[in-house]
Amino acid sequence: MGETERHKTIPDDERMSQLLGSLVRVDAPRDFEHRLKARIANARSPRTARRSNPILVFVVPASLLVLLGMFLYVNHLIVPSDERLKDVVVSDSVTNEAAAAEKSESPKVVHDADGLKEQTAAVAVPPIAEQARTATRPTQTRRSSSAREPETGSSIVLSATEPEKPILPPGIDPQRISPADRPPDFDRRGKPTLLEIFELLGVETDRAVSGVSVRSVRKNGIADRTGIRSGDSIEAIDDRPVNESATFEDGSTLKTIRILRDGRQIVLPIKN
Amino acid sequence: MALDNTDHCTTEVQRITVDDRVLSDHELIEAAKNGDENAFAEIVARYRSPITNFLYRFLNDYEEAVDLAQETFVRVYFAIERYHTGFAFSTYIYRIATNLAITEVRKRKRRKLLSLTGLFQNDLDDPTEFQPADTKPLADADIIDAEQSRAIARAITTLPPKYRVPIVLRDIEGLSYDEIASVMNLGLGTTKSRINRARGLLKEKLKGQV
Repeated sequence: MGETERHKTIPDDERMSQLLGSLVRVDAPRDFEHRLKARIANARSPRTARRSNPILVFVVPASLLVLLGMFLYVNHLIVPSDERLKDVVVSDSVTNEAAAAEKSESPKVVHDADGLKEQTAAVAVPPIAEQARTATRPTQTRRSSSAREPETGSSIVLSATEPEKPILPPGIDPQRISPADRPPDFDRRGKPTLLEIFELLGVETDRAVSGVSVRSVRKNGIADRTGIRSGDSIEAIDDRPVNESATFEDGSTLKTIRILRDGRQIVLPIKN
Repeated sequence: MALDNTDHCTTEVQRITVDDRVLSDHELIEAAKNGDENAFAEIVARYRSPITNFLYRFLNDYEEAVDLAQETFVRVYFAIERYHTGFAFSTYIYRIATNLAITEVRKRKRRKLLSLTGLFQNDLDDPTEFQPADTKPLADADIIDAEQSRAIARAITTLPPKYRVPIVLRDIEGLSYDEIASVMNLGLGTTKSRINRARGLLKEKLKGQV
């Protein structure tokens, strides 16, 4: 197709305008108004709701913020400060007791104070010093916050402090100690031992055929108040048989002791 | 003026008259502001077909055009309190319709970019074209005209919106240059140059087809 011929087929502006004007006009559908009315009715309710939005936009977040502020104030400003005070007292007593124990080169255990008898408030039991734990510091067992328990006096809560890292000669990586070189109670660190529990209860024991036999009971101790006498055999604590492999989780609550007395099994509720 | 082209639908229009005088757009708007629902219905009756036709030629999709025409009137209805009579109502309503149409074109572009299925669709088959009822037996000339009309309609939709709006308003809706300049918020010279440019682009696109 030649250039001139091609140009002939291209309409000029006037013709283009006429062509566009000759296009068929379309009408709105017959139900246009009906649909429009329905649409306006539908749109009216959300738009009305949107007008009230500014109230919701400001009031609801503001009240939520106030509630959040109150929550934070109650939980992080008041309670923690009390908790911090308690921690300070406890740690002081623990430090003092530990220092006293070291000074007097006292034996394995540090006895609980007698004043525990009627106390229901939080009392820190001094740490049980220098157990037979090789190269570790003693695990501190204490009775914690019995005041928080509603049934105060019917149970004791065990809690053990985290053992510190073993003191090793320089150049030895504690992470690389082979299992064979680990101390025998390596896996039980951080958990109160039976010896510590008996110390807490206030009994001295001997190994017996079934469980342990009570050699002596400390006067006014927990065991004394619970009703344990010398000569009894402690078979189980909280239905867990007392033997060498017995372990108790840190923070667990002890409630009952089963003893064997004169051939009879007696379950005694622990009286704190 | 657009209203001049609505002769075919004047039978449907129920005009509100006072002393046999047809109320102007601004009078109807004032009445609608005062809560006269019939006045608003009259406005709808006057502009529903021109707006639908404008949107149809802009989008080449009848269902979408009707939907956007309705949205245009919904916006007019809820913004009627803010309308002031400093401008012609026709330019006001065409501007709303234009904005909606341009937004729709942008949405379509975005959808086309995001949609994987769009890769396998034919763009030209997608929109719903208006099929007027035809009772006459088909003649060769009619077939040729119909094909030519479709080609023009498709060519219009390929124009960028800044050219599509003025050429549709001018050559299809018959608005004056001043009105188009007001709708597009442009100067008169820019408006005329865009219309000429749009015609030139259409000529290029329709080479050999018309």
